[in-house]
Amino acid sequence: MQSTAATSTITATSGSPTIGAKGWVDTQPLSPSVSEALGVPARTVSQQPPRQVRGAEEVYAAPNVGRFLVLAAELVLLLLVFHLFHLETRSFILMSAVVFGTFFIHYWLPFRFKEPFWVTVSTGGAFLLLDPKVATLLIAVGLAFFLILRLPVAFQWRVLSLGAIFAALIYGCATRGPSIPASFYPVFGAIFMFRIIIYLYDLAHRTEPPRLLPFLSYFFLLPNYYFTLFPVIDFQTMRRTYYQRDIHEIAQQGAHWMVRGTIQLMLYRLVVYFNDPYYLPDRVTSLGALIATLILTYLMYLNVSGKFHLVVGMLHLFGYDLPETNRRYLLASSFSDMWRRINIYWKDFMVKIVYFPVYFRLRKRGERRAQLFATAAVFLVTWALHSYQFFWIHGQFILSWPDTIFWGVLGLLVMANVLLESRGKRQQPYSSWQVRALKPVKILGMFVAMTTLWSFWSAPNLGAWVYLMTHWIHSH
Amino acid sequence: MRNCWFTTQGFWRDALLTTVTLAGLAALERAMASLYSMPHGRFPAILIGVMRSRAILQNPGTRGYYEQLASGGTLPAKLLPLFFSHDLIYDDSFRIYRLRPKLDRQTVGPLTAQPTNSFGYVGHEWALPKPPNTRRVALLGDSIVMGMGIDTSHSFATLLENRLNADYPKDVPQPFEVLNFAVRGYVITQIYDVEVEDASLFQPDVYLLELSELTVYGNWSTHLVQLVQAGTDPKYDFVRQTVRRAGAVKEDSSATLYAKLAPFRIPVLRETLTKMKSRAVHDHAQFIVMLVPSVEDGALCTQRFDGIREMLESLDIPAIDLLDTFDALPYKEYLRLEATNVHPNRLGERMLVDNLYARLRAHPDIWSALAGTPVETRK
Repeated sequence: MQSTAATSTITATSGSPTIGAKGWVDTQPLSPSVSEALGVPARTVSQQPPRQVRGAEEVYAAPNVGRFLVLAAELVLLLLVFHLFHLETRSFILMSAVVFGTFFIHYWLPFRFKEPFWVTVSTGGAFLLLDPKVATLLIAVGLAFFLILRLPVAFQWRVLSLGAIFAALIYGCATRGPSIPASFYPVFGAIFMFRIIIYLYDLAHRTEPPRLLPFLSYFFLLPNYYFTLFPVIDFQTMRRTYYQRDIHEIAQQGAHWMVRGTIQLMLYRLVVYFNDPYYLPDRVTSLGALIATLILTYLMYLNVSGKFHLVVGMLHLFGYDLPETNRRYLLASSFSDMWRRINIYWKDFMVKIVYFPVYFRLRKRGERRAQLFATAAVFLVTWALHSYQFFWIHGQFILSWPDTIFWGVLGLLVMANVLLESRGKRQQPYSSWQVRALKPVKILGMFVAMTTLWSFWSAPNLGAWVYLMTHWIHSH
Repeated sequence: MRNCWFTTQGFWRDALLTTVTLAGLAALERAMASLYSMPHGRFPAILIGVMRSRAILQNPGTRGYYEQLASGGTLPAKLLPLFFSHDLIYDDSFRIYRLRPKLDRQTVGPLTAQPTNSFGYVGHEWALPKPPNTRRVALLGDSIVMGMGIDTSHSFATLLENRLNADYPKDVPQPFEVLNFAVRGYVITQIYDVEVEDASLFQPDVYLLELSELTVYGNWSTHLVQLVQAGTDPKYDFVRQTVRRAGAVKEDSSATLYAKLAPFRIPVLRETLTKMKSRAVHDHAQFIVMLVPSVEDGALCTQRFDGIREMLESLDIPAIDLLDTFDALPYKEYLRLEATNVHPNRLGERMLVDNLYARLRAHPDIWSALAGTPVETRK
């Protein structure tokens, strides 16, 4: 499930031009070592299941009163739980009410009206959740992007024009001039900073011009006005999975993920509560306290995974059968495994935009070398893009040692893991009982490593982290 | 079971699981109040309370990478509303900012009829020389006892003054005068400066210091961080030494400065309290400390004051512990200024004063320090 987005980069879908039509992927099978390291199935174009016949979406969208009532009851209950537990803010509850209300209408609409309706509500929702000036600017900039991308000029000129607008906005964000409200930049960043890269990438590998409806449905997603920390949804995956199976199954899975997200956000509050005594490092005066704060700091990721589950769950209600965003990351048994399980959309984004281009460019010089360089490139770009993300929210780039070292160390560990896995395949495989016995040890080791690394990432500087880790020794 | 209809029907199975989970969660929330009143139900009820608490996310204890990413600026989110207001005057002084004098009302939080006097403190005009037959109490602290978001007539200082005067003979026109020197957002180093520079001019008989979680916990160093960032002289030797020993420099980010100063929390608190007590002795005044809670869920306040009572004891400073004031109620939001604003509302302020009064009566030595003897009061 987690590899669907990445798979889309290496597979063709009939009826739409191959993403890899420029010539680097459509005929090259991935070796199992590469695919496993990245969490991408070792499939080639020819192994991809054929696209559903046209009109299948409409069959999948056929209503069923009984199932609709069940879904409606679940959503009403979900809204009640949001309200009772004060989940997020009032804006969130308002947004959720609009999303669920939209679903109740959307469900009964003829198929051809479904997406236009969702897009209309979603785009108009900007005025409900944002300052009207910010909403107007956001939509104006989005439409300007679309018009530029439709221009009958060479692709690079279109990209250059977009780049010029981005540069102007980056300048505006850094200087926070009075003409544009400061609240515009985080929302703009949340919507466009990463997804525009994916969109342009897909556009570059396609011959057909961009269409307005998919453009709007990809960028102007109602939950995105509220959640500035948003999963990096893949454009091709979003299009390909639209009503790819029965809507009741899709929506039910969405409801299930929303419940999961809700529970994770509640647990996050408990994590914050229990971590509170250790927020001040001078209070970490025992080894037990240190272990507790390391674990609790890592568990604060529940906030991100919970929100991502909610977002994707909501999109499921409208037929977008998107894959899971995070999958049992606490049970990762290696660094590569962790990379495949945590923030899966980010991994898929990196695989598509960075890993494959680097890998296929270097592949002729050796498989392993290509893998290592591509992995290194992924972590370098990840580090840079996290700073870029920080910029859109805060107006300044983050260049801290903990951040740099965290991504550097994580990258090295994943590279070492890739090497080990590729060597391990040539050695005598473990027996099944050895594998079973080793698995918990690996999971525990991974958990210890990640909690330590995560505490480092969360520290404001090296000195603060060293103080946190050693204060309990000195306090005795 | 493996091949039964239910397990093969993904939709119905998931729908049932989802519905049961959601109904269970709703029931859990509803059961909280009942659990809270049971002897063994308090802890589970607190956990449920935390799970439904939006305010818990506003506290400064959340500093993971993504929390820093999502927060709106360099100041901790909890402090943002306290700053950047037209009610305040920002200058390059040690205190960074002060309340604007002669305001009709204040605009932070709900619009409140909370005028300031010509000295820039909340309340009516004060006479600089102490009126005869009056016992003056200088109330020092932050937004909680200042009464942020509450009309002056319902603030802590007014309620305390009224309560103290109600207990005194009618023939004494105004035996107690509580001067409210509290300013929102002030932490211990700023409060010390208020005591030295302003409050002492009014010849108080008692310095009543409020210690809140702002001063003793995560944001205790906010003032020092701002001083360093503004390049302002730390004024007092012990503050200068702290900044120097921490290696804090103007070029550091806020997060780095907070981290560098973190190890100095207890030493700075201890030093400042010692100096405040010395100042009170110098002014022939009593020095009393109140430990005052915010309206937090769970037992956050109690946790955050760990070690503070012991410190006060070791400094021989009389202290009144009010941290349990809001413990009786499972749903704390009814006592808050706003849903996520942990400042007490009118009801909360009244509960604080009631609890203070009860505690004072239970500690004759501290009561005597605050109220003096009737003879002493009439001097």
